[in-house]
Amino acid sequence: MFHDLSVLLKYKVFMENSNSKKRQKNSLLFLVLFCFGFLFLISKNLLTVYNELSVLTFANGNFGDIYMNFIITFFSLFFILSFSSMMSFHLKKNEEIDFLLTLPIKKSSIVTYNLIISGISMLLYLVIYLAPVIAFFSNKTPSFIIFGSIGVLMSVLLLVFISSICAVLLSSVASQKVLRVLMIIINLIYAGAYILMFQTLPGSILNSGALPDALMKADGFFRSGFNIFSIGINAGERPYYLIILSVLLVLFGLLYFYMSDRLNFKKIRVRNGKSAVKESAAKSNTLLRKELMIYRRNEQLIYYIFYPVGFGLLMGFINKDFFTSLFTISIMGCLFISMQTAYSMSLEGGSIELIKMLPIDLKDFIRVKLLVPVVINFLLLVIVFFCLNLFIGVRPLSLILLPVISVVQLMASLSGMAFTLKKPPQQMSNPNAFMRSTSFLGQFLVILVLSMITVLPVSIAILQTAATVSPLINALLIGVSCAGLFIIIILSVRLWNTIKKKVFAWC
Amino acid sequence: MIKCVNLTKKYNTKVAVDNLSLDIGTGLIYGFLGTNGAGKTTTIKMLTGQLPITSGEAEIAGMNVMRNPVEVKRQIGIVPDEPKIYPFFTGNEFIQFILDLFKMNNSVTRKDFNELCEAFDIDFLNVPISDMSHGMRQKLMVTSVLMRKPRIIFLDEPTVGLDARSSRIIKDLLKKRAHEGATIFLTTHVLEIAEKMCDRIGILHNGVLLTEGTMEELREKRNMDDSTSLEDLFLALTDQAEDVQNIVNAL
Repeated sequence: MFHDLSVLLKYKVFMENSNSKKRQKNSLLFLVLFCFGFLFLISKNLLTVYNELSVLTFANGNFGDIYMNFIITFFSLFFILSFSSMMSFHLKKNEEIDFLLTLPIKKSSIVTYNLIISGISMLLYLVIYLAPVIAFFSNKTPSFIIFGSIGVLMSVLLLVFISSICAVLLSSVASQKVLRVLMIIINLIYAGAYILMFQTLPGSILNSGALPDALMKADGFFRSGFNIFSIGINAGERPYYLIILSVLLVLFGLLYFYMSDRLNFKKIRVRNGKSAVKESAAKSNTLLRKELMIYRRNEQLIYYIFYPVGFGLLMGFINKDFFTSLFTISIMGCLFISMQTAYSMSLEGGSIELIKMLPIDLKDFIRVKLLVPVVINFLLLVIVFFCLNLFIGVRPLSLILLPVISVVQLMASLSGMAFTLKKPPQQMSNPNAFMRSTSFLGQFLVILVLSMITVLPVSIAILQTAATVSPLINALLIGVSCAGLFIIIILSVRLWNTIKKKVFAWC
Repeated sequence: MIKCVNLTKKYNTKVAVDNLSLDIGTGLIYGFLGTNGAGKTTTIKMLTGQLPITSGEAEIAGMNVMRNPVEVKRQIGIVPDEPKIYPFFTGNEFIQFILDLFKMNNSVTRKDFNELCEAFDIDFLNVPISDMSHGMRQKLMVTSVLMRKPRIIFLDEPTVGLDARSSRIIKDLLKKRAHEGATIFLTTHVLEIAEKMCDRIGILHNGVLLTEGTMEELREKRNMDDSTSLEDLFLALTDQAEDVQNIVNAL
């Protein structure tokens, strides 16, 4: 098995051409650095929370330890859910698996190979899991930390085994579409849970000076040997937990190899059926309907649309603040719009010959692709304004922000499309390939900075009351936004010219 | 109907098609033959406005291809060598898309389409295109073109991946369409098909048109007798006959 796996990984990692190898290395380096930065930030935040909660004690210990055991258990469950849904998606039959199945390779090697490939993108989830561990170990003795660290390492391996078993099971019963929807739902819940667990819950405990009843009652279980998700960290206090973990690792490991060797890589179910073309009146806006169908058929795009809105609304309601909500939605929305156009344009990759063959005006083709995400996001933004006005109250003057945000979003849409046209993904079958590129992340940064300097100052100027901000500062803020807007317009024109040049070179 | 003068395509220094001139009249089936990489697909792409022309002129149904690419595409039908269709469509949705795009969503075209479905045994219209085999996609592509009854049809290796029955139907149907006045421009590596179907044949080699005419004219030009097959003629013209013999002997 190890021979098969090493050959597969060698083929994957070393057989790529030097450019893509370099790109992959850069992306991986960026991801690792990002994860470390993120780990540092949330660990620091959690450490403060942990120290504050540890002061509050009761007969069986302190609130800090209960809280940490609770969130480690909770995020272990989320780790399993995320990893298993993502990995089962990778275990669906594709061209690569089809090819590998023709070779004398054990199925468990193919599954493990896919596990390693999809596991890289799970680094961020691992960071969220490790942050409370670091905070928890901060005030412990060296022997506790040594045994606890070994326990945590074993726990991570156990989580990977459990996730992989779930993935093997899931991939045999769920279609690719269901798995994609599942991944989106889990990610959305994860984002909400992250805010609740890391911000709202500790705040509420500190304010009331007491733990919620449910958490208090469940404490016995959280810190017991029956909670396989927290026995790793508690191995510092009770080293015999390491023996339990070893037994579990062997059991789940064997189960994993047994199940993965028996996995039937399934393809999407095909509905056969004869049916004549439906009687319907001739419809106009064929390109628009095609674009909307792309959105309907690709859950990823739906996720890109609703994630910033959902996240922003949640932030707005939790903080009872319109500004937080609007800022989150507009900034995140811009980033996600560029991802939408890049993704949607990548989807055209394999079928671009069809567009060239048909009597389609390429200007219409580009316009539809650029405007659909902007219009959808504009409509959602209007709905958000309406909702927040109902529950929080919004100053009518803030409606001025709508066109400003739309201009920024149009620039984001242009940049997403220009990126895919300039650097078409090597694997057209994977419309997500653009995400692996470091230059796309660089572009992300540009959009982030531009949207911030454009939306943030004017938002402060409009949303703050006249009493708190002097007219001079107000004028200055509006001036900065205008400058940002000016840069965005210049950049948009340049992006539009690049797109036109690229697309019209087709014919 | 299809006319080009000194059509040339260059990729940097490499000349893919060199000074190609053709004049194909109405109601003809024109077979465009050549070795792999000879420039057949490039020629089709230039003639149909899919690829910019480096130099020369191309006219389809009296319209300049470079000046009116969209209008040209509206008048013609193209069956590419690889049926690359949107994978997120089902067969039905793809046909609706084509009907709407060509503004032909009328009962006559729909009836023609349903008849073609019967003929090609297309019973997979509800299947997503991503799940279709090459043959299924090819049938769908051919049907989407033939249902519109275009005046000019370009086909790049139309029978690849098709079963014998469907292949025969396409060949007969193309003959029928040509008889009704359509101009057919097709490339194929199956020389028997070209010999049986085509009214005129052009042979392209390394981007250069070696010869062009009816079978009789081609034989006459090479001083070959009436029993000479197109295959022998093709190999002789492309200087491959001796090469083939040597390889077989060596094996």
